[in-house]
Amino acid sequence: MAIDKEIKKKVVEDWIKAFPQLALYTQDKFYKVAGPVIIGLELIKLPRTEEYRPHFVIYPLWKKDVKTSLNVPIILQEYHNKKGLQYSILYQKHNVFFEDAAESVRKQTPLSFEGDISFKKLSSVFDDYSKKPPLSAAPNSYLQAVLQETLFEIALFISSVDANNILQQINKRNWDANHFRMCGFEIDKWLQDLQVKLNSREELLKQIEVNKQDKKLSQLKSSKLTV
Amino acid sequence: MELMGQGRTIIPMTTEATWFRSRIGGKGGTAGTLKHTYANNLLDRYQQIYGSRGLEFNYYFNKPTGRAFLDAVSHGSMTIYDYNFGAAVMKNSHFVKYSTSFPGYKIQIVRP
Repeated sequence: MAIDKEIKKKVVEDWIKAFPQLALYTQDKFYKVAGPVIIGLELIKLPRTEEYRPHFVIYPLWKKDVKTSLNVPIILQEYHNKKGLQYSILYQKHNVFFEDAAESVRKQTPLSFEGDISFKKLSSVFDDYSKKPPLSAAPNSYLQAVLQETLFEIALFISSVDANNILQQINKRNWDANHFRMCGFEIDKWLQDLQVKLNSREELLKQIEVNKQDKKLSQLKSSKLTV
Repeated sequence: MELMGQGRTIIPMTTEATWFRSRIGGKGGTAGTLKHTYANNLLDRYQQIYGSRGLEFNYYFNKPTGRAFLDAVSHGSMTIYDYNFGAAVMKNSHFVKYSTSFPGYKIQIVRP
């Protein structure tokens, strides 16, 4: 059964009112640009039900185009209620659960939607994310490597020196070659590619600027990434 | 089959399954959908009443290795539960996607 359009409209209105720092990107995605990343909330409809669940997301802005940038989030995180359970909000009962869910989002969102964000804070969010399940189950997996690669790229946005510091740490890690292979990658080749990226900072900066000019993205509110 | 959350058993699925099979009959996609929904609602209600056992349902992931909803997952016991009702079997592509996306996790087929 299709969800009533009026209810969906009300859901969007309530979330945007509760988080005015974000702007509507598509029907169920609320974003803002923060330096080289997009942060925000997504209301993901659950399969086989008429329920939705809010998620915190961070996306990179330096991929080859906006569509690719918004294809896979760097961070995707659920929120939990006071009982420690996931939210599964029935669209029909949105009014009943919305305030509680919005409050949890305010308390549990790891980055403030207000104002600029610092690289230090962003690094700490990445660190926390890597140490929590499911990533924590395999601390040297390819997925952990991707998270570190993203942190390296964000550092590269700031400066080559900052990026090089992250790269040194990446080089010291005992990455899981088996998991890399399962995912279709080789550690040595991946490390070489990072070195190439380090020498291509201008390209990364240019791509971020190109993506920010996108018609829809340029309408989002934006803040800076500070050192 | 039992679902485990943080070392404790939650819901002996065989007992419950007998109950819901008697009410949700049929084969194929529609019956499968109803059974998935029933199972998750039942387990969710259990945790609402008795407290969290660390089980999460319809857990969405979107990683470089793929995107999907897990039927159920326990991060405490690092177990992914995949419901297979009737003659349904887990596709190899799903197994690969879950294995690569959740390294260190076990995959447990729930076939009541």
